[in-house]
Amino acid sequence: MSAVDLDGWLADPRGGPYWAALQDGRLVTPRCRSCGHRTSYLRWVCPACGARGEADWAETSGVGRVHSVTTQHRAPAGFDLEPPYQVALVELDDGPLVLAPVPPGAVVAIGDTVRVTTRDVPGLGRLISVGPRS
Amino acid sequence: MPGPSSDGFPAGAVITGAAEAGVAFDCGMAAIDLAVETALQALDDAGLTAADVDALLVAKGADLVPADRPTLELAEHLGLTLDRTDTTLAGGASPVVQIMHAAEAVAAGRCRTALVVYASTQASSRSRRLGGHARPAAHRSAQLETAAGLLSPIGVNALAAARHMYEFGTTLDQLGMVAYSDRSWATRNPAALRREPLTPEQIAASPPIAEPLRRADCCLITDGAAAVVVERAGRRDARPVTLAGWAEAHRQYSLFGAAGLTHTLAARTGPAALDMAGIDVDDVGLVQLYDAFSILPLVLLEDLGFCPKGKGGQLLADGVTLPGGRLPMNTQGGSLSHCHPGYYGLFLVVEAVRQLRREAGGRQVDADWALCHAAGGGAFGGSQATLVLGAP
Repeated sequence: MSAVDLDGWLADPRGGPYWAALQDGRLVTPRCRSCGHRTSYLRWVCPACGARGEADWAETSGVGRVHSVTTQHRAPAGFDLEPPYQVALVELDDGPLVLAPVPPGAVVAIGDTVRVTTRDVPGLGRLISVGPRS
Repeated sequence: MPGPSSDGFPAGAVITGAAEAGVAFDCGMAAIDLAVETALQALDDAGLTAADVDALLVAKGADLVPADRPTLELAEHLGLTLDRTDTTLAGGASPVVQIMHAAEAVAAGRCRTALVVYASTQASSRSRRLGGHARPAAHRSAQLETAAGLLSPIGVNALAAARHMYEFGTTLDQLGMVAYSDRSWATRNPAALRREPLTPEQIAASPPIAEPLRRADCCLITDGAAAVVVERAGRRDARPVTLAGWAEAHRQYSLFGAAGLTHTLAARTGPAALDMAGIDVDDVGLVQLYDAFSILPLVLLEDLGFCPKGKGGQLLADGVTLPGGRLPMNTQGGSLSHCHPGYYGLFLVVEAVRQLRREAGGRQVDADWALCHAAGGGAFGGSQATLVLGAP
């Protein structure tokens, strides 16, 4: 899985906490200290309130709805899942958008309530994953 | 750009030369040589020489060549001494944005004759493949796409198409009309790389790449170069196409910065460019819309104001963009049938210039105004650029 440089991403002080939490099976996203707005990754200026302050890494419920989904019949070089597989853009109930693949055996559709979790990628670590809620 | 300048010429900017070269799956040339050839052809077309050029604008990109300081390398080859260069990076919209910057510099008297050039040999050098190029992993937003296994750039376009179908009832057959329309025009363009007839049934049977997008919904990957000469209005013997209105808008790098998957900033640039030109959508006789994936022109027709939001699929299904229709679109065959060497925006403009000069041969349309719109920069068009051109 050459495209995923997990060691490099973990070492990034502004991006690393997201990847580190995934290794513990937790999904965290930045939450603005001024207004509480959550973003998908750490931004320097809050897109909701304009605050320049730091954000906290806050755990999410992991529950949300599928905003859109595509079934890809090819995979980027080095990606571990065998195509075809789905990639879903999920709007979490507590705000942020997350993008995650649907592992084999599950299928999701736009509007479905889903649960975002983590999956083990052999030889690499844990990455984001999504599937039906129950 | 109203009002005469101090030396009596109108202060407006015009396009006086346009050319494309090396449109092929393997052009057999190095990109720098291709850039030189198309630049000289555009100057010939304008009746100018390299000595007349005082501004050079070349889009630079990682998988494009000449990639390292492209304006300086090209300037050295052409023997230019420049007052201005520009290597704007706005994805496929880059060269269209550069035409706008050239027009503004010319109108402000900062330069007289600007050359906008784009060249790429990405098909023959195999630096690009359908759906499969990796986003730079240093970008934190791109890491989120990579970790999800999303193909780039097709993945985000597929997500946009799926969402449009869900929200507005757009159908696969309506999406397929983009490929059908492009090919219907391409059969009349000897320079188009795919000219064999293509039926709606063949499009429907085209293999899926990233659903709902099929191979037929995706642009070609080709070599090719284009160049345009922008200068001050008023030169004798020129055949000027008027740069009548333009607007650009930029926002996101990744889909996490987009305001939504079904709306683009074309809703801002379209009305602004038409307003600057002093015309409205009903005056537009030709639309040249970026169509790297079929969902793009469908959404652009809506956002630019050619139909209500959500009705782009129906407008295409009505056949208005086909030969003989009231709104000809991508008359060179678009990027699905003509060519797509990466930053395709300049090819939209070259065709508009030919149409407005009545030089389009068997595909000639009757248009006094053309609207070119390029989207680029990933994430379903982080950059949007609308350019309105008027016939000589």
